[in-house]
Amino acid sequence: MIYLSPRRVTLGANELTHVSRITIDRTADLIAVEHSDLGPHVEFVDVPEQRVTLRIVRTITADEPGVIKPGQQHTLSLRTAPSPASPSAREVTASVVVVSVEHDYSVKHGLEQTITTIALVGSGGADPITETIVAGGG
Amino acid sequence: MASSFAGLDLFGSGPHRFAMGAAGRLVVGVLRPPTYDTRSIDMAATLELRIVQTGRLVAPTPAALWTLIDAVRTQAELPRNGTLIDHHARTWANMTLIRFELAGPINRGRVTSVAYTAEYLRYGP
Repeated sequence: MIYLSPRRVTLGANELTHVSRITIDRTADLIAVEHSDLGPHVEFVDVPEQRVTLRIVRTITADEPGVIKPGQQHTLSLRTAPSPASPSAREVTASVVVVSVEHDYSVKHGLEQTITTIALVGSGGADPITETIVAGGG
Repeated sequence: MASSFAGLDLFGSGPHRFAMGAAGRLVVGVLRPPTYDTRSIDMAATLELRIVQTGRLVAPTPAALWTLIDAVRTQAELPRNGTLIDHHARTWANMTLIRFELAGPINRGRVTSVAYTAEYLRYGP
Protein backbone atom coordinates (compact mmCIF):
# COMPACT_ATOMS: atom_id res chain seq x y z
CA MET A 1 0.00 0.00 0.00
CA ILE A 2 1.24 3.48 -0.77
CA TYR A 3 -0.02 6.92 0.16
CA LEU A 4 1.20 9.70 -2.11
CA SER A 5 1.55 13.22 -0.75
CA PRO A 6 -0.57 12.73 2.37
CA ARG A 7 -2.12 15.90 3.74
CA ARG A 8 -0.93 15.69 7.29
CA VAL A 9 1.55 13.34 8.86
CA THR A 10 2.47 13.17 12.52
CA LEU A 11 4.87 10.86 14.29
CA GLY A 12 4.19 11.25 17.97
CA ALA A 13 4.42 14.97 18.73
CA ASN A 14 6.37 15.66 15.55
CA GLU A 15 4.51 16.96 12.52
CA LEU A 16 6.35 15.82 9.41
CA THR A 17 6.28 18.23 6.48
CA HIS A 18 6.90 17.71 2.76
CA VAL A 19 6.07 14.00 2.90
CA SER A 20 6.09 12.66 -0.64
CA ARG A 21 4.97 9.12 0.14
CA ILE A 22 4.33 6.59 2.86
CA THR A 23 4.54 2.93 1.99
CA ILE A 24 3.16 0.05 4.01
CA ASP A 25 4.89 -3.25 3.29
CA ARG A 26 3.59 -6.52 4.70
CA THR A 27 6.07 -9.35 4.82
CA ALA A 28 6.42 -12.76 6.45
CA ASP A 29 8.90 -13.24 9.28
CA LEU A 30 8.05 -16.95 9.39
CA ILE A 31 6.44 -19.11 6.71
CA ALA A 32 5.22 -22.56 7.68
CA VAL A 33 5.39 -24.83 4.62
CA GLU A 34 4.59 -28.53 4.63
CA HIS A 35 4.67 -31.29 2.04
CA SER A 36 3.25 -34.78 2.41
CA ASP A 37 4.00 -38.23 1.06
CA LEU A 38 1.25 -37.82 -1.53
CA GLY A 39 3.15 -35.76 -4.09
CA PRO A 40 5.62 -33.02 -4.86
CA HIS A 41 3.51 -29.98 -4.17
CA VAL A 42 3.06 -27.92 -1.04
CA GLU A 43 0.05 -29.01 1.00
CA PHE A 44 0.15 -26.46 3.77
CA VAL A 45 1.24 -22.82 3.96
CA ASP A 46 0.68 -20.35 6.72
CA VAL A 47 2.33 -17.14 7.82
CA PRO A 48 2.24 -17.22 11.60
CA GLU A 49 4.73 -14.38 12.05
CA GLN A 50 4.24 -11.23 10.03
CA ARG A 51 5.77 -7.77 9.87
CA VAL A 52 4.27 -4.47 8.77
CA THR A 53 6.92 -1.96 7.77
CA LEU A 54 6.02 1.69 7.19
CA ARG A 55 8.43 3.98 5.37
CA ILE A 56 7.97 7.72 5.38
CA VAL A 57 9.79 9.54 2.60
CA ARG A 58 9.99 13.32 2.85
CA THR A 59 12.03 16.18 1.43
CA ILE A 60 14.20 18.17 3.78
CA THR A 61 14.07 21.85 2.89
CA ALA A 62 15.83 23.43 5.88
CA ASP A 63 18.04 22.51 8.81
CA GLU A 64 16.28 20.19 11.25
CA PRO A 65 17.24 18.87 14.66
CA GLY A 66 17.39 15.06 14.67
CA VAL A 67 14.62 14.40 17.16
CA ILE A 68 13.42 11.14 15.61
CA LYS A 69 15.71 8.26 16.50
CA PRO A 70 15.75 4.46 16.23
CA GLY A 71 14.08 2.73 19.15
CA GLN A 72 11.50 5.43 19.75
CA GLN A 73 7.87 4.33 19.87
CA HIS A 74 5.31 6.73 18.45
CA THR A 75 1.85 6.84 16.98
CA LEU A 76 2.09 7.46 13.26
CA SER A 77 -0.90 9.23 11.83
CA LEU A 78 -1.55 10.34 8.29
CA ARG A 79 -4.54 11.86 6.59
CA THR A 80 -5.12 11.49 2.90
CA ALA A 81 -7.87 12.49 0.48
CA PRO A 82 -8.29 12.43 -3.31
CA SER A 83 -8.37 16.24 -3.34
CA PRO A 84 -8.63 19.14 -0.88
CA ALA A 85 -12.28 19.51 -1.92
CA SER A 86 -13.18 15.95 -0.98
CA PRO A 87 -15.97 15.74 1.59
CA SER A 88 -14.15 13.06 3.51
CA ALA A 89 -10.63 11.80 4.05
CA ARG A 90 -9.00 8.64 5.26
CA GLU A 91 -6.97 8.67 8.41
CA VAL A 92 -4.44 5.91 8.90
CA THR A 93 -2.87 5.34 12.30
CA ALA A 94 -0.43 2.82 13.70
CA SER A 95 1.74 2.42 16.74
CA VAL A 96 5.28 2.11 15.40
CA VAL A 97 8.86 1.79 16.50
CA VAL A 98 11.47 3.68 14.50
CA VAL A 99 14.22 1.40 13.19
CA SER A 100 16.15 3.82 10.97
CA VAL A 101 16.37 7.45 9.88
CA GLU A 102 18.35 7.80 6.67
CA HIS A 103 19.10 10.55 4.16
CA ASP A 104 19.87 10.54 0.48
CA TYR A 105 20.65 13.39 -1.87
CA SER A 106 19.91 13.52 -5.56
CA VAL A 107 19.75 16.40 -8.01
CA LYS A 108 16.25 15.34 -9.02
CA HIS A 109 14.69 14.99 -5.57
CA GLY A 110 16.97 17.09 -3.37
CA LEU A 111 17.65 15.88 0.15
CA GLU A 112 15.27 13.05 1.03
CA GLN A 113 14.79 11.62 4.48
CA THR A 114 13.46 8.07 4.88
CA ILE A 115 12.10 7.08 8.27
CA THR A 116 11.59 3.33 8.50
CA THR A 117 9.32 1.99 11.21
CA ILE A 118 7.80 -1.34 12.21
CA ALA A 119 4.20 -1.42 13.40
CA LEU A 120 3.27 -3.23 16.57
CA VAL A 121 0.16 -4.09 18.55
CA GLY A 122 -0.52 -4.74 22.21
CA SER A 123 -2.05 -8.09 21.37
CA GLY A 124 -0.60 -9.92 18.38
CA GLY A 125 -3.89 -10.96 16.86
CA ALA A 126 -5.05 -7.54 15.73
CA ASP A 127 -3.93 -5.78 12.58
CA PRO A 128 -1.55 -2.95 13.51
CA ILE A 129 -2.91 -0.56 10.88
CA THR A 130 -6.14 1.31 11.59
CA GLU A 131 -7.89 3.12 8.77
CA THR A 132 -10.91 5.33 9.37
CA ILE A 133 -13.01 7.66 7.25
CA VAL A 134 -13.20 11.13 8.73
CA ALA A 135 -15.49 13.94 7.68
CA GLY A 136 -14.11 17.26 6.59
CA GLY A 137 -11.92 16.23 3.70
CA GLY A 138 -8.22 16.56 3.33
CA MET B 1 -5.61 -42.81 1.66
CA ALA B 2 -5.27 -41.58 5.20
CA SER B 3 -2.52 -42.95 7.36
CA SER B 4 -3.33 -44.63 10.65
CA PHE B 5 -1.77 -46.14 13.72
CA ALA B 6 -3.49 -48.91 15.69
CA GLY B 7 -6.62 -48.08 13.73
CA LEU B 8 -6.53 -44.46 14.89
CA ASP B 9 -6.32 -41.42 12.64
CA LEU B 10 -4.30 -39.27 15.01
CA PHE B 11 -2.55 -37.10 12.47
CA GLY B 12 -5.08 -36.59 9.69
CA SER B 13 -5.55 -32.90 10.46
CA GLY B 14 -2.39 -31.96 8.59
CA PRO B 15 0.24 -33.18 6.17
CA HIS B 16 2.81 -35.67 7.41
CA ARG B 17 5.53 -37.96 6.13
CA PHE B 18 7.14 -41.22 7.14
CA ALA B 19 10.80 -42.23 7.06
CA MET B 20 12.40 -45.51 8.02
CA GLY B 21 15.29 -45.37 10.45
CA ALA B 22 18.57 -47.28 10.25
CA ALA B 23 18.46 -50.96 9.31
CA GLY B 24 21.19 -53.56 9.64
CA ARG B 25 23.08 -55.50 12.29
CA LEU B 26 23.18 -54.65 15.96
CA VAL B 27 26.85 -53.92 16.53
CA VAL B 28 28.29 -52.42 19.69
CA GLY B 29 31.71 -50.93 20.29
CA VAL B 30 33.74 -51.91 23.34
CA LEU B 31 37.12 -50.86 24.71
CA ARG B 32 39.55 -53.76 25.10
CA PRO B 33 42.54 -53.70 27.41
CA PRO B 34 45.44 -53.32 27.51
CA THR B 35 45.41 -50.77 24.65
CA TYR B 36 41.73 -49.94 25.04
CA ASP B 37 41.27 -49.73 21.31
CA THR B 38 37.68 -49.81 20.15
CA ARG B 39 36.45 -53.18 18.98
CA SER B 40 33.08 -53.85 17.39
CA ILE B 41 31.05 -56.87 18.40
CA ASP B 42 28.18 -58.27 16.40
CA MET B 43 25.40 -58.99 18.87
CA ALA B 44 23.86 -61.58 16.55
CA ALA B 45 20.71 -59.54 16.09
CA THR B 46 19.21 -57.06 13.68
CA LEU B 47 18.46 -53.45 14.53
CA GLU B 48 14.96 -52.76 15.75
CA LEU B 49 12.69 -51.27 13.14
CA ARG B 50 12.25 -47.55 13.71
CA ILE B 51 9.84 -45.30 11.78
CA VAL B 52 9.99 -41.55 12.16
CA GLN B 53 6.95 -39.46 11.25
CA THR B 54 7.17 -35.71 10.77
CA GLY B 55 4.27 -33.40 10.05
CA ARG B 56 1.99 -30.69 11.30
CA LEU B 57 -1.19 -30.82 13.36
CA VAL B 58 -3.71 -28.22 12.19
CA ALA B 59 -6.83 -26.91 13.93
CA PRO B 60 -9.07 -23.85 13.74
CA THR B 61 -8.44 -22.80 17.34
CA PRO B 62 -5.73 -23.30 19.98
CA ALA B 63 -8.16 -25.32 22.10
CA ALA B 64 -8.91 -27.64 19.18
CA LEU B 65 -5.20 -28.05 18.51
CA TRP B 66 -4.53 -28.99 22.12
CA THR B 67 -7.23 -31.64 21.84
CA LEU B 68 -5.29 -33.17 18.93
CA ILE B 69 -1.98 -32.90 20.81
CA ASP B 70 -3.42 -34.49 23.95
CA ALA B 71 -4.87 -37.37 21.93
CA VAL B 72 -1.45 -38.23 20.49
CA ARG B 73 0.27 -37.72 23.83
CA THR B 74 -2.13 -40.20 25.45
CA GLN B 75 -1.26 -42.86 22.87
CA ALA B 76 2.47 -42.22 23.28
CA GLU B 77 2.29 -42.58 27.04
CA LEU B 78 0.27 -45.82 27.13
CA PRO B 79 2.36 -47.06 25.25
CA ARG B 80 0.16 -47.98 22.30
CA ASN B 81 1.12 -50.98 20.20
CA GLY B 82 -0.43 -51.55 16.78
CA THR B 83 -0.09 -51.49 13.02
CA LEU B 84 1.24 -48.37 11.36
CA ILE B 85 -0.09 -47.69 7.85
CA ASP B 86 1.18 -44.86 5.65
CA HIS B 87 -0.66 -42.94 2.90
CA HIS B 88 0.20 -45.60 0.32
CA ALA B 89 -0.95 -48.60 2.40
CA ARG B 90 2.57 -49.58 3.36
CA THR B 91 2.08 -51.50 6.61
CA TRP B 92 4.37 -52.01 9.58
CA ALA B 93 2.96 -54.40 12.19
CA ASN B 94 3.68 -54.52 15.93
CA MET B 95 4.86 -50.93 16.16
CA THR B 96 4.84 -48.93 19.37
CA LEU B 97 4.47 -45.17 19.47
CA ILE B 98 7.33 -44.38 21.84
CA ARG B 99 7.83 -40.65 21.38
CA PHE B 100 5.88 -37.58 20.34
CA GLU B 101 7.55 -34.17 20.36
CA LEU B 102 6.48 -30.72 19.21
CA ALA B 103 9.06 -29.14 16.94
CA GLY B 104 8.55 -25.67 18.38
CA PRO B 105 5.93 -23.24 19.60
CA ILE B 106 2.38 -23.30 18.32
CA ASN B 107 1.97 -21.17 15.19
CA ARG B 108 -1.00 -18.83 15.13
CA GLY B 109 -1.68 -17.55 11.63
CA ARG B 110 -4.54 -18.29 9.26
CA VAL B 111 -5.04 -21.42 11.34
CA THR B 112 -3.50 -22.79 14.51
CA SER B 113 -0.84 -25.41 13.87
CA VAL B 114 2.31 -27.00 15.20
CA ALA B 115 5.01 -29.14 13.62
CA TYR B 116 5.90 -32.42 15.35
CA THR B 117 7.97 -35.57 15.25
CA ALA B 118 6.53 -38.96 16.21
CA GLU B 119 8.67 -42.05 16.57
CA TYR B 120 7.59 -45.68 16.34
CA LEU B 121 9.64 -48.71 17.35
CA ARG B 122 9.22 -52.43 16.86
CA TYR B 123 10.79 -54.06 19.88
CA GLY B 124 12.98 -57.07 19.28
CA PRO B 125 14.01 -58.68 16.00
